[in-house]
Amino acid sequence: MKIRSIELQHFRKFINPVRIAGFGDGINVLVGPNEYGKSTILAALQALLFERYRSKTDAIRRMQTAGSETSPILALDFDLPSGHHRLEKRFLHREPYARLFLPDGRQVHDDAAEEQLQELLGFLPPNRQGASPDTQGIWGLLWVEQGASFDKPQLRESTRRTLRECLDAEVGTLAGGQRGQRLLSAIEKEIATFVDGRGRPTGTWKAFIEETARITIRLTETQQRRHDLEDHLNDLDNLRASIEQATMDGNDERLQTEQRTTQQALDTARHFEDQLGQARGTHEVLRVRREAAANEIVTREQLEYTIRQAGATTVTSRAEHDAAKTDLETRRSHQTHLAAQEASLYDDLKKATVALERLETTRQMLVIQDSLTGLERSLNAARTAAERAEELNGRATAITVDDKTLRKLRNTETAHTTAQAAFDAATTRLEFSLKNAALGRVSVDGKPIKQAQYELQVDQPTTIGLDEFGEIRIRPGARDTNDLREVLRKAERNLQELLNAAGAATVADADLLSREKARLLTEADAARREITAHTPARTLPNGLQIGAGTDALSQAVAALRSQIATHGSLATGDHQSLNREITEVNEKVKLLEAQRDKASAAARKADRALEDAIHREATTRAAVTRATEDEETPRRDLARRRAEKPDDALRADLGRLELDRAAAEAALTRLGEDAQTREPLSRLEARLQRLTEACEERQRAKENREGKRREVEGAVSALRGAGIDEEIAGLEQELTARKEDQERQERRVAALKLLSEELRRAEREAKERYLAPITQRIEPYLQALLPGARIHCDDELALQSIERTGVPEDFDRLSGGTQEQIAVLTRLAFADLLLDRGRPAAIILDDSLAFADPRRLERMFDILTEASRRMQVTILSCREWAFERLGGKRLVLEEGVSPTEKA
Amino acid sequence: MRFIHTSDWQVGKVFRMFDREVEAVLQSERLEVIERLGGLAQKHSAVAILVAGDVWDHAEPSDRTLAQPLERMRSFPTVEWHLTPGNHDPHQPGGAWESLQERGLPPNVKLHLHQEPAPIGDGKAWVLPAPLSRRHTIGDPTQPMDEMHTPPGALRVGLAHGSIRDFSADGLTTHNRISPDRAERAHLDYLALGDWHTLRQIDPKTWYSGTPEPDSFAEDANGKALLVELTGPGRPPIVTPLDPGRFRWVQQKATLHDEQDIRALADQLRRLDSTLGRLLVDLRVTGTLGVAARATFDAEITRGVGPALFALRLDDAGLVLAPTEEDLDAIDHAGFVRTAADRLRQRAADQTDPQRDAAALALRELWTLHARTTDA
Repeated sequence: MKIRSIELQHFRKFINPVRIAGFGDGINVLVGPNEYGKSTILAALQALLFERYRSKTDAIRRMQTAGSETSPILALDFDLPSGHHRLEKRFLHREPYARLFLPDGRQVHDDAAEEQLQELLGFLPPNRQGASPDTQGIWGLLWVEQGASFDKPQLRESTRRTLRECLDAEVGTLAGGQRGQRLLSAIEKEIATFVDGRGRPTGTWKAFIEETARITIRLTETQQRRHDLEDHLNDLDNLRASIEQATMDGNDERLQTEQRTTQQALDTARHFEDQLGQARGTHEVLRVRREAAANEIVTREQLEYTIRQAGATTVTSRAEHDAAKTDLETRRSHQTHLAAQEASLYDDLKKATVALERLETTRQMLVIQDSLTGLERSLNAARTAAERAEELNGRATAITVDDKTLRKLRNTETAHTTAQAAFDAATTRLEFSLKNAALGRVSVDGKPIKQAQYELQVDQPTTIGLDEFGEIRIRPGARDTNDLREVLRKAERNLQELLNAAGAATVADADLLSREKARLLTEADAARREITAHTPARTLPNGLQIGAGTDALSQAVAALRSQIATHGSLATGDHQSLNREITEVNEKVKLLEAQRDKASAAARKADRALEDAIHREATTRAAVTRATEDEETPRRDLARRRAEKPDDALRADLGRLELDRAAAEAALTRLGEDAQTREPLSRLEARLQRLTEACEERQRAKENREGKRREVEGAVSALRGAGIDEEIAGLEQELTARKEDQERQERRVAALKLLSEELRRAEREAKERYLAPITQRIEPYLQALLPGARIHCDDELALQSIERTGVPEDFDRLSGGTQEQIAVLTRLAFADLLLDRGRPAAIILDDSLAFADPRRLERMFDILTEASRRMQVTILSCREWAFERLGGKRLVLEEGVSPTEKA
Repeated sequence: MRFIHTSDWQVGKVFRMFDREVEAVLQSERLEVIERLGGLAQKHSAVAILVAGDVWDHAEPSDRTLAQPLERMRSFPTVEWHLTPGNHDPHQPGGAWESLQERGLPPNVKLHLHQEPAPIGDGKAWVLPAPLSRRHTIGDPTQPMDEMHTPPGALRVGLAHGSIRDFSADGLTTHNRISPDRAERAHLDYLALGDWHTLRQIDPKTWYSGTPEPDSFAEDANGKALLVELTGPGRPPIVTPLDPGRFRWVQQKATLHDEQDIRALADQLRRLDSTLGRLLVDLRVTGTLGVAARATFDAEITRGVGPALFALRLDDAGLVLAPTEEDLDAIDHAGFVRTAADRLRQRAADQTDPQRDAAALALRELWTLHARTTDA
C-alpha cells in the first residue's frame, strides 16, 4: 500500500480543510514543531480507515474540534497493487457517508465501502468502543504512534493470525504443538512424582527411598544384634568350658588338703614355740635373781670398805680444822691494828688537802677579780660607744632627705621655675602697693585685698573694685592661658608635696638637711668602730675564752660575777704570801701521802692473809662435815640391808639359786636343739596364707565365671527367640527387591528425562524452522544496525532476545534506544513478509528514533532507505535537524483544500 | 527295618522376593510337608524319619518357628523323628537346640547334638550322627563315625550334613566336606546326607535325599524324600524315592520377536505342569517387540497364563520395545513429537549410543503417555 494524499476538515484542531499530498513511493518525511498536527494526521488516517462512518463512539466524538459539534470529514488517496483507490468519510453528521473509489472507476458506498475496505486491507470491524489495536490487524503493528515505538511490537491475535498465514504459506504449519505440550506436561508430571526440579526425590518416591534407608539401618542393627548373639554364644561356650575345666581339674581338693595339713603343722609349731618361750622365761628369772643375790654380797663388802676409809678421813680433817681456827685468830688481830694506823693517816691527809684547796681557791678568786675589773672597763666603754652610735643613727634616720630626694626636688624646682616663667610671660602682672586706708577697700573680683603688697597674675578678665571710686576692669590679651596655668599649678603642687615629704620649707633647706644626715652617719660609724675596739676576742689568765663583741663580753662579766658571788666574799691578801703558804701545805700533803701509802700496803697485805685464813677455816670445817657424812651414810645403808636379810641367809640364797638356774639352762638347751629340727613358724604361716588366698581366689574366679555365665545366658535369652535370622533374611531380601525397584524407577526417570529432552529439542528445532522467514528478514537489517548480532523470537512471534557475543540478552534488558531501533527493524521485517506474500503494508513512524545516537541514526536512515525500495515509509517528526540527512520526500501541510471538493 | 531319609526342611525360610501372600503360603507349605512325610512313614511302615540337617533355615529362628515343626512331629507318635543340626541351624551351646531341649521335646523326637551313637527304635539300628556346631566346619564332620562303637549286629546308619568332597561345583569348598567313602570306612549300612537340595545318589549306601519342598529357582525338581529299607548288616539298602513336595520352582527363558513367539511361550508355560497352580516361574524374556506385539505379550503372558501360575517372576528388562513405522504413525505423522520419536528410535537402535537403553525405555514411556493423553 502506498498513501498518496490525506485530507481533513473539522478534525480536532483542523477546523479548516488541510491536505498533505505528494507522498512518494519510498520515504516520506513530515517535519513540524510540536502542536503542528503530525499525530493528528496519523489519528485521522486510523479513524478514516478503521472506524465506521456511522459510529458515534466516544473515540469518534473526540475527533470533533474542541467545543464544537462539527462533522469531521476525511479523505485518503492510496495505491494498492490493483491500482489507485480513494476513500472519503464523514462522521457525526445527519448524513454520514463512506465512499470508496476503486481503480476500475466503480464507487462503493457506506457499509459496502466499509466491507470492501476491510477486505482490501485485512483488518477487523471495530467493536463497540470503536477501533483498537486488536481490530486494526497488521496496521496496528506497522503504524507506530507517538511514544509507542519503545515497546517491542505487541502482536494482537489478529496480527499474529495474519503473520502466521504468511508463515504457513512460506514454510508450512507448525504441527504437533498441542499434543506435544500435553505430552511434555504429562512427562513433567510423571517426573515430578519422583524428583523435584533439582533432581531430589520427592513425594512417595522420597518416602520409598527413606523407607529403604530405614530398612537398611534396621538391617544393620539387626545384624549387629546377631553378631552380639553370636559373640554371647561363643562367650557362653568358653565360659562353660572354663567352668567345667575348673571343676574337673581337682585343684580345689588339692588346695584344701594342703591348707588343712599346713594349719595342723602350724598349730603344733605354735605349741612348741610356747614351751620354748616359757623355758626361756624361767631361765631368765632364775638368772636375774641369782645375779641380784651375788651383787648384794659384793655391795655389802664395798660398803664396809667405804666406812673404814671414811673414818680415817674424818680424823685428819678435824686436826686440819683446829689448826686453821688458831691461825685465823692471830691474823685477825694483826689486821685490825694495821687498819687503825691507816685510818689515822687518812684523816691527817684530808685535813692538809682541805687547807690546800682553800688556799688555791683564794688565789683563783684574786685572779678573777683582777680580770673582772679590766673587763668591766671595756664593757662600759663599749656600751657608751654603742649608745652614741644609736643616738647618731636615730638622728640621721629622722632626716628623710637623701641624695635621691634632693635630686628630685631640684628637678621639680626647675620644672616649676620653667612653668612659672612660661605663665608669667603669658599673663599680666598686677602689683598692688596699697595704703592702709585702702586695705580691705580694694578688691579683686569682689575679694578684698588685706595686705599692702599684693601681686596678681591676670590671665582672665578681672575686676579691681575701688570701693566708692568704682572699679577697674582689666582684659588681658586673647591668649588662652588655661593650659599654662594648669602646668604651673601642677608644678607647684609637685614641688610642695616633695618639700612637705622632706620636711623642708625650701629646696635650700632640704640641701642643708641632707648634709647634716651625712655627717651624723659618719659619726655613728666611728662610734661602732670604737665598740669593736673595746670588745676583742681574748683568753683570761684563768684560761676562760671570751668571744668578740659586746654580748660575749657581757656574758663573761656576768659569769665571773656569778663565780665571785658563789665564793661568798672577795679574796684578800697578796699573791706572794699566798703562794708561799700554798707551797708549804703542799710539802706537808706529799709527806702524808707517802706515809699513808706505806700504811695502806701493809693493811692490804694483812687483809689478804686474813681472807686466806678465813677461807682455810671454812674449807677444813666443810671437810670435817663431809668426812663425817661419808662415814655415816654407808653405815646406815649397810645396817638397813643386814636388817632386811642377814649376810648368812643371803649367801644361802645364792647357792640355791645357782643350782636352779643351771637346771633351767639345761632344759632350754634341750628345747633349742629340738627347734633346729622343726620348720620355722613364719614359713608355715606364709604357706597357710598363700594357700588360703589361692583357695579364695579360685572361689572368686569361680563365682565370677558363674556370674558371667548367668549374665551371658541372660543376654542370650534376651536376644534369642525373636527370630533375628529370619528378620535379617527378610530385610535382606526386601532390600534386594527395593534396590531392583529403585534401579528400575531410576532407569524410568532417566528415560522420562531423555524423552523430555528429545521432545523439547525437536520442538525447538521445529520452531526455529517455522520462525526462520521472520528471522531471515530481520537479519539483514540487524546486521546493518548491530553487525554480528542474531535475534530470537518466541513461537508467538514476539521478540525475545538478541545474541551479540553468543550470549542471549533479554530484549527488555537492552537500552531504550536499542530496543526502539530493533522494534522498528522488526516492523520492517514484518512488512517485508507481508509484501512478499502479496499483502498490503506500509510503515508510519510517529516521532520515532528519538534516542538514537548520530551514528545509529545514520545506520537507521540507511536501513529505512533500503527498506523503502520495497515499501512506503512515512516519518512524522518534530526534529527537522535530525532528519535532514534522511532524504526522501518532504511533505507539507497545505491549507484551504476541502476534502469534498474533489468529490 | 524301614525309615525315611529326608533333609533341608529349612523351616522359617523367608521369601520376600514375592508378595506377602505368596510368601505366607510358601512358608506354611514347609510345615505341611512334615505332615506329609509323617503320613508317608505310616503308609510305608517306616519306624523312623531321619532328618539330615537344616531342619530350620536359621541358627536362631523365632520361638514360634522353632516350635512349629515339633508339634507336627508329635502328631505322629508311632514314628521316631531323629534330628541333627546342619549348616543353616548349627548347634551352639546356649543356642536354639539347647533351648528346645530345655523346654521339653515330644517323646518321639530325638535330637543328635553330639557325636555319640544312639539307637533307633528298639535298637536294631543305631544312628551315628555328625552334628554341625558351626556353619562352616573345617574338616570332615563324619570322620568320628569310623571310631564309633555300636552293639554287635546292630545296623549302622550315618546321619550327616555337608558336601561330598570334590562334589561342589568349584571343587574348592573346604568346609563340611564329607569323604565319599565314609560309608565304607565307617562300616555304615547307610549314610543319610543333607545339604544338597535335589535327590542324589553317591554310592549304593550314600544318598542325598534333597529337600521335600523346593525353595528356589536354582533347582528345577520336585520335592523328594527317600524310603530306606535295611535288610541286615553289610547288605545294600533298598532305597525308594518319595514325592512329598507340593510346589515346583521353574526357570524359563524366551527370546521374543513377534506375536508367534509370544504364543509359543504361552503354550510352553502351559505345558510345564498339569497343575499350573503348583508352579513358581521365573521368566526372563529378551528380544524386541513392536507396540502391538508388546500389547499381545501383556495380554497372553502377563495377564493370560501368568495369573494361572502360583507365582510369576517376570524379568522383561531385556525385552526391547521397538515401535514400528505404524506405531509411530499412530502417535503422529509429522510434527516435533514424531521427530523426537524417530530420533529416540534411532538412538535405541544405535549400538554405540551410551543412552541406548534409556532411549528404548523412553520410547516405551512415550507410547504409554501418548496412549494415556490421547485417552484423556
